Amino acid sequence: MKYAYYPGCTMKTSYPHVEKSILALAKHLGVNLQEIEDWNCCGAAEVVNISMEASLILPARVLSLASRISDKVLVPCTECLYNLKRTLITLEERPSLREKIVGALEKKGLKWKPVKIYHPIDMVIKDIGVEKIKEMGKERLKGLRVVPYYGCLLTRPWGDDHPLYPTSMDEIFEALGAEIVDYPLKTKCCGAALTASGDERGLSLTYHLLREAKRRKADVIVVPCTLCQFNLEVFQNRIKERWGEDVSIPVLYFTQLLGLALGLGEEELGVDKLLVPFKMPERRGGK
Amino acid sequence: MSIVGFLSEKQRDRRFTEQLLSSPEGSKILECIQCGTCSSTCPLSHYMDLTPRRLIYLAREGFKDLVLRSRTPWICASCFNCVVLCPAGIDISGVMHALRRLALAEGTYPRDEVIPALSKSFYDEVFRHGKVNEAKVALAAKGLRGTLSMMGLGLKLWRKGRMSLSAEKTRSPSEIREMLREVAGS
Amino acid sequence: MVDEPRIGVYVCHCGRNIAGVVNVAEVAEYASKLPGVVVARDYMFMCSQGGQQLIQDDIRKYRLNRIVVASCSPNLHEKTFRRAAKGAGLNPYNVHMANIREQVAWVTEDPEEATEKAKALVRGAVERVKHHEPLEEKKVPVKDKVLIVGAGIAGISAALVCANAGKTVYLVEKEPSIGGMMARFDKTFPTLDCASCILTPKMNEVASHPNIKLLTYSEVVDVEGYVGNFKVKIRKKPRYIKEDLCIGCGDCVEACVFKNPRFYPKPDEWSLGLKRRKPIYIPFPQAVPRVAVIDPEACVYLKYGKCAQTCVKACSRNAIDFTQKEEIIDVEVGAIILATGYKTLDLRKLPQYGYGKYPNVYSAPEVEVLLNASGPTGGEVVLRDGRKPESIAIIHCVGSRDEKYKKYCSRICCMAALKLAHLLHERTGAEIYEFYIDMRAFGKGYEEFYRRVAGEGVHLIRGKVSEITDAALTPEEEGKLIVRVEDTLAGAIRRIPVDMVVLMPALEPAVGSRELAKLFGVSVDENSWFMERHPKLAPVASLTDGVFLAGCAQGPKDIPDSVMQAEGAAGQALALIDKGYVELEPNIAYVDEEKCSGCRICVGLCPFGAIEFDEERGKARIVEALCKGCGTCAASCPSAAIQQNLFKDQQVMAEIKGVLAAMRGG
Repeated sequence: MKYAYYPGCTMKTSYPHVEKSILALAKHLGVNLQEIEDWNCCGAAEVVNISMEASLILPARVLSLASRISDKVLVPCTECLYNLKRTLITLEERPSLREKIVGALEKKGLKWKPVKIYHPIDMVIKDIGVEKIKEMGKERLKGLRVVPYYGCLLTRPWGDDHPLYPTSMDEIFEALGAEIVDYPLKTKCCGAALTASGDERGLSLTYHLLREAKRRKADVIVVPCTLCQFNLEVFQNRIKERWGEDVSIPVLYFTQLLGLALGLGEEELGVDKLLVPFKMPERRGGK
Repeated sequence: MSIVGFLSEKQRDRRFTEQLLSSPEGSKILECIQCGTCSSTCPLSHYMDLTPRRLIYLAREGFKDLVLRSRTPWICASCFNCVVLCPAGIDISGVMHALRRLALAEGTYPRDEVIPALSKSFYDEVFRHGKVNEAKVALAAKGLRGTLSMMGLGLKLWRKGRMSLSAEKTRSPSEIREMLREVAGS
Repeated sequence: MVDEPRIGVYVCHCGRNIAGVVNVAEVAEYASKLPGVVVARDYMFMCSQGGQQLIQDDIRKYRLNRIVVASCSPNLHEKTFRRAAKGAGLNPYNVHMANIREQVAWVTEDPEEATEKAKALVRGAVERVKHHEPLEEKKVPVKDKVLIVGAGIAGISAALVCANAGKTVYLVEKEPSIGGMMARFDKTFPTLDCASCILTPKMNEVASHPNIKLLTYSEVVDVEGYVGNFKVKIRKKPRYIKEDLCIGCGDCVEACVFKNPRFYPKPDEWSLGLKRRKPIYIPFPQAVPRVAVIDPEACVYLKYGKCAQTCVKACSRNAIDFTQKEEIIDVEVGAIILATGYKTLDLRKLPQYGYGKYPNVYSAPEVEVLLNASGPTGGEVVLRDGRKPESIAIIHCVGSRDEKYKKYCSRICCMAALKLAHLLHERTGAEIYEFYIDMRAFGKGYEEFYRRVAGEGVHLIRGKVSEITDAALTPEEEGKLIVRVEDTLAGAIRRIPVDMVVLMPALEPAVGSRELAKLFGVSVDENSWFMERHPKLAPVASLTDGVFLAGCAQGPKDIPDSVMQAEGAAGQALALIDKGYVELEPNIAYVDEEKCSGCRICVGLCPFGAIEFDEERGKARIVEALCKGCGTCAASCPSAAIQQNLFKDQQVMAEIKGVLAAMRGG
């Protein structure tokens, strides 16, 4: 199994702890990740506000470079995931845009060849399989009450799972022995860039997400999106100041908790770099 | 912004509606049945000056100024709830993106929202370097006061190795620049 | 060619429908110069009296023996022009139509291109009609009996009309009782009549009518034949009760070994699972026939062969018969009415509304049963958690008017929702919130009903609900179901906590409709509703002669419309039967025995079983009465031994050659 690996800009600057877990997990599962050479920014949520064409050429270049490595590209950031999928679909559906974008790529010696776009969850489900994960995990998460929080872009507007009631992470962590919390907000928005910029309207969304997880007695929130990880984790103090309610709860990226469940070490997975520390069930019991 | 009383026909701009209809995202807005599913499912609609449904209605009728001065597109977090639920199959999040482009081009965006400035500085950064350090761009967009309010948090993250102010670059930023210029003309 | 062709060509303007695009004068001029054409004209409306007269006059004046009409689809006016030709002494099958409206004018933008296309089709028709020969229609007598499938209010209404006209009716119902969905309702809109008070008399009339053969717990398994002469096989499932002996006293049900209602083995069908039932049961108190039925999947004796058989001991009439087997009943009828009704959309396909997750979210049909005096709570509104609701949300358009589910409006929900609002308010005193997109109150007395319910203080909120959740934000919302909605008239977001949610699901065709459509050879539309012949002018006939449609099987309808269509269908069936005979199109196939090699390929392919093989002569033979003129055999015959009237090889080839010649500019 060989993937072209597209980390995206923020993975390098803001989420090295997440990237560590992705690479460690891939190695553990025998998946070969080859980072795309000289990749560029996907345009995030901002470039499309300036120019539709610019928002397509950036992911198109990434996809073109990826196709040199494999017919599958692994994308752990859901904003990048969305932009890559959007480009693939838009170029498929709109010949006039395709012509323009592909033409510009070709001028730089880049070929347009569509590739399959995978999130690490897709990789685990499709390439490894929940059965295998279950076998490997030995129920290390027994006793842990997990909120699988999916956020927006993993399943919307495109994804294999139900756009509002996905179950992929539920299935994986249930197989690892965790108790899945019935969490009606699992695909509600965290506020994305609005929250990250410290805007109170965005923070109110994060507050409700954390509060509901606490009310339902969760031990940990697990997310498939780096921005969700940021928004849900780093503003917990500010939320306490603003709304006077303790909402502290660890927030792990999907590959971090999965890595722990498969027996990998905390440091190896960047879990030691969390602001809200997380301990595995047996050690919590031991103290 | 609340609309009370009289909407003058002089405020209508047919070309604006046409512009939106010809954008890749806005082609289906005429099929809207005004059910309000989008506003109902939108996690941020209660903060908006015009609910997404009203915004689409006014855009369809051509009330350009009301639409392009609205805060709504800048509050939208692109969660796509509305898109997957819209019974008329309208790409509502996409319409917000199209409206943002028009508002930025016209210069009618609300000045106290942070996303417009962030979008501009983000684009500049991509244009210059091919890659982006989001933290740097965000701080630039927030200005001095905004930056100071995030200082404590930034420091904590920096200690964990989760914050960097380094400039990221592709190997040949000019390649990206030329491609952007070719397709987007800037 | 049988005789020297003398052809008249008539190009119709169809107002501006054709003439708006096609240069009709130029087409007529072109036609007039084609070999064999004696006269060619264009005219505003060929189908008008004047147009027909024109053709008839020309036939006499010019001794025409072939007619080409270039106008609309033959579906609309082939009969008109054949009749006109016949009136002037010409064999009607010497008329052929070129469709220059649907196939040219309506689908071609450029006038020049359209005119050329029209010329080509006309030339094809001229070449083809030269090879036409006089044909005779066959008259076949009609069976004077009617089959009606489905015994809800539509099927019942149709059956009574036919039976009262003296015809024998076979009324087939797959459930153990007739009555359909209406039998579950407590009241009906807009008059708030008691549903069972108006339905039960009709059900009883059906049961006792000497002309109605009621076949409940039965399904049609095979249909053969054609209009006027259908042969139908019906499978009657065993009830394990002798219908003629059972008086419906219920002693057997009482005596059944299952005693604790919580452990009854099956969810009760009539009450939509709101309670459970025993293996032996009478579907509901007003059931017709009032005869018990034993469910073989639940009955201990039938499943395991061992039981105390307390039911048998309790039955004073010895009506229980565990040896009963299914029966196949053959009937022959002249007309068929399909009235198989609807079901409501599976609400689990819309997880956002929490149906199946939150116990106090109900479907509208469940609430109908809940309100019914014969229902599990005797008409008391008690929630699944035992509480009485103090606030209730009723949500319209659940799966209707929605690209992702059903694009259409389900028509009945607005009024049904208002009715439920009224009844729920009356029974519980709860605050009622109705969430609608558009209030559609189109029928007689409906607008008045809408005003009445609004006047009772129901909160009518214009906005579609996107989700039901139990994630509370405030203390008032704790323990409630929360509805977040845009109140579109206020232009603002509201969160309304309620105790009970009622969903108004979209209607869709009943289970098995597609299979049934295949069985009866009727077409279905994109949503699988049975398709009517014409949406406006033939709303009761199907596209298959002799098969008529009634009630929701054709599309969502309320009770008045279902009854109207059912009585209309009955009228059509009676008109067909009382004529006494049908004229069959002579477009049937025949075998040229000289050429037939006896390979039998056609025998297996004929979808109507109309080809026999004569073992002695080693040749295929077509049973004329069964042939429907589909052309499958003619197309598949490797030695071209099968020809079909009106579609003979030489006719079709001549038409193609004519079209091609015109396109080459010849």
